[in-house]
Amino acid sequence: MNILTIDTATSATALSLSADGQLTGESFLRTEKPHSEKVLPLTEQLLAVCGLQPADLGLIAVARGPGSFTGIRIGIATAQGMAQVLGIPALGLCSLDIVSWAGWGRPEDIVVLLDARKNEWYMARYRWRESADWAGAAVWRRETLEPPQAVATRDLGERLAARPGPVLLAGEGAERAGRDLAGGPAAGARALPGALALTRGACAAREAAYLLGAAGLPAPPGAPGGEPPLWQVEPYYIRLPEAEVRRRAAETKA
Amino acid sequence: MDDTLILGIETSCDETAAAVLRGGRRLLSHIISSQTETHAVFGGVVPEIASREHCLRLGPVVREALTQAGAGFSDLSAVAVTYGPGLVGSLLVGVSGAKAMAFAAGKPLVAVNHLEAHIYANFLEHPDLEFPLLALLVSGGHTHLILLSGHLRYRVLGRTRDDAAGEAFDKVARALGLGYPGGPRLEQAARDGDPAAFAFPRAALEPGSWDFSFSGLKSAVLNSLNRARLKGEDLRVADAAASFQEAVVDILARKTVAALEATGVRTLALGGGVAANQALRRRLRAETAARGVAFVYPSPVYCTDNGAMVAMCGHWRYLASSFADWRLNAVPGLILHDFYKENGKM
Repeated sequence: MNILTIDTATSATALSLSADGQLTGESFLRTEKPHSEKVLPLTEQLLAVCGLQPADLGLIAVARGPGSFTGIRIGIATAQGMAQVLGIPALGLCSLDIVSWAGWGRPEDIVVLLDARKNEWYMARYRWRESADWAGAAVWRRETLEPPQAVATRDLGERLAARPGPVLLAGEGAERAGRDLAGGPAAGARALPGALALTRGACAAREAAYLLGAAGLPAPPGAPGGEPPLWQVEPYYIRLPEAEVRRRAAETKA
Repeated sequence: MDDTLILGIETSCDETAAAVLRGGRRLLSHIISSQTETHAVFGGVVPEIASREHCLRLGPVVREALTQAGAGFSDLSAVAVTYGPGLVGSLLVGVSGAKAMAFAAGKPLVAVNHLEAHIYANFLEHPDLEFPLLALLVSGGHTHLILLSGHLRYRVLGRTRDDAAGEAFDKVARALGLGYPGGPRLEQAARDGDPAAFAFPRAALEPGSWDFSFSGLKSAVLNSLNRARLKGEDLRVADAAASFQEAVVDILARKTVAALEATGVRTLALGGGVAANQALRRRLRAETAARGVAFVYPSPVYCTDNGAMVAMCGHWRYLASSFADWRLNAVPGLILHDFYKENGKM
């Protein structure tokens, strides 16, 4: 089965194609142009050079957040729109989970950081652990030590130091956070450098395969009472809209 | 026979809408998922919330439109979508979704200007409307007087220099405590009021200009309100609403009549959310009848944002082979391009 992945949740436009679990193509752009001008031209190009038509796709996986609100929606609207036409499932991926693959197999805790603006990070903490399956073969499992959340940038050092053991920072915020942490309680945290810290189509492809392997394929579309439809992906914003936050605060005061 | 089949998608503000139109004449389906209630508690449209709602609603709305039309994506001639003007986050959901649908279905993509679509709403119920025609476009964001010599051929004669007519309605409605959405609430309140109770100003711009101005009028209403409050008087809200509405209608009607007389055009079409206002329709009906000018306007449901007008405009752009490519982006500040400035003289 051919799987397309789309990730526009951060400043990178990252796509991948894989066939039966093997990565066959990848696209990555990190330029000033907005996602909406890039994501579909890149998709068309990637499919074309891989010799595929949209109808050859069996599933589309998309980063559903956290990240840029607008970026999340561009990715989801694109993935959903294609999946709806093709009659195939769309699968939502957590953008922090995707980047955890950049630290696969490392002994440290992997902390993924994405810019949440307003002096906050979107953060999650993972550990890759090797274990044996029922037949004794080695398998790697990802343990989520801290689920995705928004953390104040000034609190990051303390949060990281609250758990023992070395930390590897990944994600678009890794390098900046690494510098900010210098001299603080988590000064030992090391950051993946440059593009090695960023989201990639290859990482999203692995994440999609990991989820599908764990949960099996979604049921075919058109099942009776199939609500919500299988192409529907729910965005994962973590944060409420600012206006809603203010409204709730005013309600509490009253 | 023209058997084009156009899917029109509209997400420029707070309505998620889709429609399927056959041959530029038969509207096969027409779905609007309105967020008005979602935004009512905030007293106005909250852009981030609107964008979130569009993202959840777009797929189901398109599915419903196709189901009701008895059509599949493969039956379509093209997918048409509003790419501006409007709220950027809202527009991006529709544009991204429409591009993906057109691409996956192997169909052309048609980019529709929201202002143009409001004019084309008139063709939904009057498909044989003849040119030249004068269009008065009045909505929450726009007030335009436009001359059309043929399909997609515009000359913008005048536009507002400050507030749009609908914007003035909303602001005055809020000041009068009439709530949200302001336009319909103010019209309702005005029914029990005396339109001559207050002599609100009608801005007279320099002679020969067909531009509009509403900010002076809006300020005059707010000043009257403040003066009454300072004096501890009770201002009759119905009278203020009726007098304000009368002034807006008067400003719009005078310029429109002047443009009709100057151009000699025999057909007037109305479009945009404020086109649903009964006082405006009544006045323009009387003015046009007195001059033997044909007057058309869309049913209220096609005056507010909808997918049918996008499909109609998309139909004519499709016939003109006016296609967009996959780089299409939302343009929140999109203006109505003057065809004749771009393509030479009339």
